[in-house]
Amino acid sequence: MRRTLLALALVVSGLPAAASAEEAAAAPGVSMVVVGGKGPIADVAAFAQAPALKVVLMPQVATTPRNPAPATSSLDVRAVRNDDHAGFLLEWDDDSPDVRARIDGFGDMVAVQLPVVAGTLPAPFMGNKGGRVQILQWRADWQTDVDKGAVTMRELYPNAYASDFHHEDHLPAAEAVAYRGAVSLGNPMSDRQRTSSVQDLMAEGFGSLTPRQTQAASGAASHDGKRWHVVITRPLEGRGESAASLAPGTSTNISFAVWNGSHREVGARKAWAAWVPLAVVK
Amino acid sequence: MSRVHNWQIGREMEYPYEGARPKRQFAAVFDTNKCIACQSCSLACKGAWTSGRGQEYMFWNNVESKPYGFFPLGWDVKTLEKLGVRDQKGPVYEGRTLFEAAPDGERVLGYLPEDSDWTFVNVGEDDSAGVGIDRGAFFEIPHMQWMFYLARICNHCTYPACLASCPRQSIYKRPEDGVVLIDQTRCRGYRECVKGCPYKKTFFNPVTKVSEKCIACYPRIEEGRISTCMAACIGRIRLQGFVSTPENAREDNPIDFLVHVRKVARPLYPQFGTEPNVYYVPPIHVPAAFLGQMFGHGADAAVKAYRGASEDKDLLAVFTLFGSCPTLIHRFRREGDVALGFSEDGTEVARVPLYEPSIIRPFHDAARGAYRHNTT
Repeated sequence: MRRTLLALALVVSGLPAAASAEEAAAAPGVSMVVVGGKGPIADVAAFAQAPALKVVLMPQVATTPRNPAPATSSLDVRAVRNDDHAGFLLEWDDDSPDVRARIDGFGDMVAVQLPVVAGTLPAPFMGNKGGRVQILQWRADWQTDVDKGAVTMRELYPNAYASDFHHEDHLPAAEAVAYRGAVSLGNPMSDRQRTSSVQDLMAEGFGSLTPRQTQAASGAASHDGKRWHVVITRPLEGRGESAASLAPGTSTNISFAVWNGSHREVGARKAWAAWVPLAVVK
Repeated sequence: MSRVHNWQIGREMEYPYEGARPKRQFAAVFDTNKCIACQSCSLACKGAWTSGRGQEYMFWNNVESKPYGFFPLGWDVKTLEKLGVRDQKGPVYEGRTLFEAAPDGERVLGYLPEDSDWTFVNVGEDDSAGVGIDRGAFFEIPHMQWMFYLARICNHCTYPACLASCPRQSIYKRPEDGVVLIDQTRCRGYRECVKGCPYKKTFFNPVTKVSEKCIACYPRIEEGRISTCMAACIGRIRLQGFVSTPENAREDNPIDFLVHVRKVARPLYPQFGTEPNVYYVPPIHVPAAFLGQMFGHGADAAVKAYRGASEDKDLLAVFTLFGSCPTLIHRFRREGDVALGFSEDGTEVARVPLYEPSIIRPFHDAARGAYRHNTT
């Protein structure tokens, strides 16, 4: 079953259709290199000894809305672990970094996806009913929130008139709630004191993406003018409900997605990859 | 795609979800002939709902001059151009709706406005269209040169394109009153709704990173009161209530009376296929071809009915009730030359004479030994 699914996914990905199930099963996966220490892995230098796997990305065309020609065609992936955390270094070409979401503009993003039940193969496209996946999504605009502070209209539009009077500043807290929209309701998208650039999510198919109660992932990023270098890190143990376990000595599967903000890629308009094996080395 | 019935275009059409009409449907009638673009509605809404950070550019309610005013820039002509200009010339629309014309891979035919499109809120204000006025010309109806004001809020469509566009089902239509809302806890700011709504009445807030829209002041509706843009209208161009489908129209429901019985109010761009629920009395001084494109089949008949209102006391009674009270009028009745409005529980909430008392004073005031002039 696993072989069949992998072969199917790889054919869909645009790899040569002649790839047999045996060849697909033997396809190189991601193997974590063990590094010393504890805690979140945020430094790119930690990945120096980890080999890179080039993952082919394909357009998301399984559901609407879709973008048949996403900007990104491949992603280089490296993985390491220390005593209690895993880290993924994700690198791809993008010569126009989008680090803020304007009214008509989108931020760059990358995500890794893991089956909640280790080693299983839910539908690679955000899982399926009963086949839940955990998704860790790094967002460039969240990274900017963390690094430089929450976005303001003055920063986005320095030459626009922007009133400094806001009802929310002049009302008792209970009454100000109505003027703060999603901020008041605790939508994580609207967090004004953000501490992580990575959102910890779960899904069981298209349109079901939901933040997990336990947010355990974080990230770091740099852009060299041509490429993004993004690290996503999380504890090895699955914390909270619907968390994929990454216990040393086990193997599971992993897949990826990339959004290029300049190309208005957001939500279902993305480039994504099929599952590849992930070995959590003991 | 499901098949749903859209009475405004007189046929079934494709829609991504099954049709489920609310228990009752929020609606309003705007009389374009009375609007003076004072923007009281825009400011009432702005002060009530969009004073927050990231909402600076938003006008859930705006008033634009037509034909050259737009907010955002070119919103309607851009969509018409994409759709291919197909007016609804008869009871049944023969062109494609925005759902039926959706490109491959999309749910709705739409476009995402650019930042600059939101920049000129009052572009084209008072600019008129039409032919030149030569020597010897005099005013005729329709005018040789014309413009009018179009007040716009969310249409709380029966088949919302914003709702259809959202891949997360973060937008819902309240079953109790048909108000269309964006779930502020579920939205992730994809802006598919901004792209999909042909009226461009969903807005992305770049500070909260989610989209927002007109909520029809639903807390007021729940208390039986009219929305704040309606209450602030000093021109009394607006009447708010609930609209029925044609087969269920109730003659004593003032909205039904205007929309279905006298047919004096028409939807805005019915050819889009969303079954919008703000209805407009078309401007009487504007060429019929333009009105036909903007308000669809029946715009000319609506103008005719409106021009006959002075001879139609029941119609006059409903127009008299526009802006007459802060309470939602569910039923109306005319008693002689007086219009009466009633709330949902039957309480009389408005009593307005159809005619103001007038006194004609003689030209010569004998008591003062003076002549009255009509100028000072």
